[in-house]
Amino acid sequence: MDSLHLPAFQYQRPGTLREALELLSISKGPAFPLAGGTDLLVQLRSRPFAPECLFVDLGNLTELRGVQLENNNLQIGALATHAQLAASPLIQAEAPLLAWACARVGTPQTRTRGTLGGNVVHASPAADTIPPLLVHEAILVICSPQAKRRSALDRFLLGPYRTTKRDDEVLVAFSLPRLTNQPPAGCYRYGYQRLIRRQAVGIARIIVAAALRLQGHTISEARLACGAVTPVACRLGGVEEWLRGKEAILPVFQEAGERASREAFARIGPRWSTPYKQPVLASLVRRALQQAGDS
Amino acid sequence: MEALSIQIKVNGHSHRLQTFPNRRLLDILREDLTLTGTKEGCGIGECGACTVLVDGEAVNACLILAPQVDGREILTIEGLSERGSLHPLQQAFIDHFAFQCGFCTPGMLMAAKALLDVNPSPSREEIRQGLAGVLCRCTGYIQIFEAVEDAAQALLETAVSGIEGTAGAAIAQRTEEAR
Repeated sequence: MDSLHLPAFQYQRPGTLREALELLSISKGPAFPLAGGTDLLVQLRSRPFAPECLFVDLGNLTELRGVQLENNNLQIGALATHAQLAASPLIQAEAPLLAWACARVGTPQTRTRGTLGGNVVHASPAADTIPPLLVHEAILVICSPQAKRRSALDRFLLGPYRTTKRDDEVLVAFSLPRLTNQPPAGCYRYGYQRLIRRQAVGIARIIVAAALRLQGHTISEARLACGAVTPVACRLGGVEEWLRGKEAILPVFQEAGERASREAFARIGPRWSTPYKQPVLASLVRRALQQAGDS
Repeated sequence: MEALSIQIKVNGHSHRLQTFPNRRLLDILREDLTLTGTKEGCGIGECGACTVLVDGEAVNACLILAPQVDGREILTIEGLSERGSLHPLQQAFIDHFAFQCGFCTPGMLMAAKALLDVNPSPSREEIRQGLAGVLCRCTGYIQIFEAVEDAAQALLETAVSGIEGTAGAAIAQRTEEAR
């Protein structure tokens, strides 16, 4: 019996990446790689899909699920699930911001299925995992039938729900340059803050991810990313620059919050919600920096 | 759209099914296998009424296509009781009146089962987080949390009484002290 609930579409479940890429490139209609399906199946109900649309289910490509440290890069397969990453000791140690984000996205049920690759390719402005990946300056590995290319995440994201990924391409992995904790350069400390109506299920209104490299009490490097509040999640370079060389103390974090908020809202221009969000973003940045400084 | 064949194990029974790719696990369970204990609420992964276990992990059956569970093992609410006796979670939900309309109950029970399988003695906060993917609009959740706490205790006691001799006694004592 056909489904009463979802529209018709074409479906293939290839056994290899090469096969998947071929299927995507020869498809007559629009083609979509299917990972966990937690976004795609929702879209299937809400927007029109032509019956010739092809879903290429990547579920058999178990080689795209691994997490490992390789030549000082943290390599994460695009099909690693949120639950897997949240529970991974390697991710908790090397990229705690990402572990925290993965532990909070959606619900336990969607974290079981949802993948890091899916979250990034869906490119929601409110994607929980994108600000941490921006802080880590993640490089995306993207395959097409002809070639493999690498792209920095900030260049990959074009706008809300828009990326540079073509229909015949598959995001296969993330490569995060390891943030090494070596004296005398100092140790990285992290902070992650989120404003959301309800801790589960909800869509974040503001996300802040921060990393501070501390030499004693001095900030030798700051990385700060915000999500949900701008159309595309982004780093706040002005504040990062301002923080360098400052002491890791509350008044500095407070001013950094104010500066971060001005910097973010200068990018998007005034909106009806700006007077509400501006002080909240300042507070969340201050809290994220405090969380990093105190840890 | 072409029909395809999938092999799944549901509540211990193997099934080979001819189906279409646009049918969800939820449709297979309810319509083909008439396991209507699994409910459809929102259909978009927000309410958790359709929660089942796939290879032991809680998922929304409304967000998985039938071919995505090919070769997998599925546990639904119908498979929770064993040999005609209620699962301790089911008994605890009855004892605590942890439902009114009951529509979320199968999802709550399966989410709770997934939680206790990996975390046999969760804190209240861990229970809240473990059940965060299932919405209940009747109870206010408190009775549900209490039921899960009681069921966890009952399951631990069953596990302990299954261990013979001094080891069992030592675990029982430690459990008592932890309380």
